[in-house]
Amino acid sequence: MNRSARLVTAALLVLGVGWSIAPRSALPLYDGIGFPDEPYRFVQRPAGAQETKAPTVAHGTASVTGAVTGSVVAASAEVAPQISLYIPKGKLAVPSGTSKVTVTGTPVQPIATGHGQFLWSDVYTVSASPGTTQFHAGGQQATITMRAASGQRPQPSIAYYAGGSWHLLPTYAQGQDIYIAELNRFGQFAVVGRNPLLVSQLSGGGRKSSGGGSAVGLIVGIGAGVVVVALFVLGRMRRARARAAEDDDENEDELADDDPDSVYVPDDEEDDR
Amino acid sequence: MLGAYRRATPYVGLLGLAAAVALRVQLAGSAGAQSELAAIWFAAALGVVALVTQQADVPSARVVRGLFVGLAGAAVLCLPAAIRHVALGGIVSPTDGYARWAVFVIVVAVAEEALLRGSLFRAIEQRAGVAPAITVTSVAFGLLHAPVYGWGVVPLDIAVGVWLGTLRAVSGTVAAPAVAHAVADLAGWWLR
Repeated sequence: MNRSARLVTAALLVLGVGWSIAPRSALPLYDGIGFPDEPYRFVQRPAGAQETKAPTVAHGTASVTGAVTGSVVAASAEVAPQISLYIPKGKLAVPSGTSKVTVTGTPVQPIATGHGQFLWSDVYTVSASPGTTQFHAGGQQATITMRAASGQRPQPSIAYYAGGSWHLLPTYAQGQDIYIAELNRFGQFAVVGRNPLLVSQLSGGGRKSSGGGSAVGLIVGIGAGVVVVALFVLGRMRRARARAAEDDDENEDELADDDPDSVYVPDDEEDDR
Repeated sequence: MLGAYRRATPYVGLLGLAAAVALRVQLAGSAGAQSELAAIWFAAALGVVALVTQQADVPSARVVRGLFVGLAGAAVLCLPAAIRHVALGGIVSPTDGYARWAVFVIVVAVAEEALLRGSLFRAIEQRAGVAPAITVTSVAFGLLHAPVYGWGVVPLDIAVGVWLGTLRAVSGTVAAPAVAHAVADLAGWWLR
């Protein structure tokens, strides 16, 4: 195996490890800018928020084979989904004789929060059919991913409602306004922040963007792209000049501290020499 | 004098990267990754740092080969999400605004690659070899996303950085990781 093949193999292994430890719903977003979301769809729209269609239900089914449930993926239809659920294979305990399990995330009316807690999303009831379905403990985690109506900070948490109050779950940000937490029970879930939801900072079309919402942003963006390209054209010209200068003066010792052996050269480039 | 500058180049590149990230965070404010203005200035700042730290003896770029290597690299990056979406969740229907969004995504991705897998990679490679170059640029790549996208993305982004660095090393040109990065980002529109 040559050096390039070894490098590629090692990189693929590292990439596999990265994927294996990343949250299951991690976006294939490695950079750029956030996806332009549609305005958040509220069950009970706050004053000043943009009018939208009603929020949708996340719905997923899996077959049951020998009491082992298949994996379930359910996501609501908004862009980006306001709720998505991932339940791995075998994670659900279903009554004997069950051939199919259905998991839904349904938007419901808001539930009151405690002191210092504020709803930053709709409340969703996550349920399963048959109704006696439960989660197995241990094994691979099931996850709930929820979109907040705003990218406000400090970071909110996904919370579940039980015993008359909201309980915050360990939550990880998945971008500006999307959050993920472990799902190990059915019930009511919402994104809960420590400050009131600011209508002026709603994500999607209803927000006030610091990037501008008109063609100005696009024009400036194209301009920036031209500037970057121009910088590199100039850079290449500078490199070419520097190279020519080095060729003209082989005795120049300014690179004496560089070890040419440390410079990696692709295998076929070595062959070219 | 020139030798001293070249020795300092990796540090200049990393400090410039940190400054560009700080600029982006400051400009973005609560808009975070949604801020186009912050993204533009971030890209411009990266471009300037990449130019300042560019090395004089970069091997001649193999752009055409780099394009193909980059496309293959992008396919690898998109594969898990594509399988998941096709097999389990379907493809999200695009909405209006793709062209505008794509412009910003391409500019930022290319600017990042120009600095990380371009000048910074080369500067470290010359001093310490290809493995340290991949390692340092990958860690920097992972960390630069944390302020905007959260710490949850860092492990995967470091792994992706290793992959992009490998594409740079085997192709001999920054065109490969730039294409892979940009195409994977653009595919994210459908694979989210």
